[in-house]
Amino acid sequence: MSALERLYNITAFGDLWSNPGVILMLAIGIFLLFLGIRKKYEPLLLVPIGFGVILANLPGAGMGIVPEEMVRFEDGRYMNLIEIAGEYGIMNYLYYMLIKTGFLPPIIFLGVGALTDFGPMLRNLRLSLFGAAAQLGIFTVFFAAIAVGFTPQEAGALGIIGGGDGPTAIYISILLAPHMLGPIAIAAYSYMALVPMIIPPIARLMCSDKELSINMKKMDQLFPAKRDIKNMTAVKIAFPIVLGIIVAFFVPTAVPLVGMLMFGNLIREIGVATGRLSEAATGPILNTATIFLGLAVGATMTTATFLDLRTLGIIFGGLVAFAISVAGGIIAVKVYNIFAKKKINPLVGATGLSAVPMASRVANEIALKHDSGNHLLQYCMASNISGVIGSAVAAGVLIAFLG
Amino acid sequence: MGLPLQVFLFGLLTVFIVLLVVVATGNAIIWFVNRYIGSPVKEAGKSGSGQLQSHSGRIAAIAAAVNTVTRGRGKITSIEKL
Repeated sequence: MSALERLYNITAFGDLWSNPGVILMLAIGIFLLFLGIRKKYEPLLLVPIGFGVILANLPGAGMGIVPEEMVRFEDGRYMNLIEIAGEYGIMNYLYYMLIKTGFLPPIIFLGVGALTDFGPMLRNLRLSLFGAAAQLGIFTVFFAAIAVGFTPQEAGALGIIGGGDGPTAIYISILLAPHMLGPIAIAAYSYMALVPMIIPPIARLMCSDKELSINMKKMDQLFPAKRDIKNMTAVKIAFPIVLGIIVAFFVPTAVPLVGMLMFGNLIREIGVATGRLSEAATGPILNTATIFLGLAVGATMTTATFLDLRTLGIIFGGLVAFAISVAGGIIAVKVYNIFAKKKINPLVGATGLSAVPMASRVANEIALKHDSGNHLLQYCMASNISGVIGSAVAAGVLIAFLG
Repeated sequence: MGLPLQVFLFGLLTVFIVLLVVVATGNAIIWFVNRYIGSPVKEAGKSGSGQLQSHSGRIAAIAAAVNTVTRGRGKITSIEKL
């Protein structure tokens, strides 16, 4: 009997009965895997996050991320990484080294910068302004979240989901509300993946068929640009250098994100001379960062942190922030069109949130349904890319006020 | 003014101002490059370069579309009119 009891104690079944909430968490992890593998919703992120959730909730495995208080001494000092690894395992080592320090989101921005072509934005600079209107959701939900009882730091982390930018949402959560990191990351990446289901109904609700049929190419022919860009290569090389410096003066707290974005873009645009750096940034570095970010973020979602009414508030608040951001961009274009001769398709405003390039692709498809010759992709990419800068700047503002 | 309202107003205003600066910076760089650097020097005797130039807008559009769809990993090796 004692041998059987010992055998039973070796297994994790005893832990399972004492904490049945893990079954629900394992189901959530499997559901995230299903979304990533079967539905192809942001598989590069949802698969590692989903598996991280499973690992963190396997009874007795000790892979879940422990709260900050457990790695901090009474005098405020933290355990060193070797102590954390020894005491709480490898996943906590990864989390406190790569996530808690805020290391990975800027590294991902480096890769995003190296993948981003600022060309469409430079050809349609005025459309970049709609990237600002599309940050409306961030600040509106921040405001509303405080009203319903979240602390200002938690509200900031919740609102940033409206920027439609996963790494930025994770970065802000780490700095302002680390206990909400898991649900915020899940909400941010899920809504980014659900852009094809979020933008179309809002666009149809807010825009008439006539507005959705505005043909930007025809507008360009009627009102041609005042000047061409004679040397796009030189412009693209100068742009990240100059802009990176200028933004740093306006919002220094945004430099870890914007600076790395601009550096990544610079090594892309220089061409062959820095080709190896660009390849490393977009390949091994970005992929490695994505794996560790996903697994460690998923591992923060233990029963204690996730099975909470606030999680529902985060999921719902994130959706509202996302929807308001889309609507904010559309409203800005509609207001602009009242005063301008050269009309802009409101879908360009709807893509002012970051979700690049998914939002642009979705907007392009909606426009093509209304006019098969109306290819909006280039124009939407202008506001879409500026939305990346806009959400990073919004993050910088939140850190400056609330950090 | 309470903190939430401050963050709301200053936050939106800052994002708008920074994106205005993005537009102004972009325009200034384009102006500077057009005025002081000009068009890139083309290699003499490169076959088909005149035709390429005349289609540069279309090629740029195709390149941007490929870049977007393949997330920067795709490469155009040839363009064929069907």
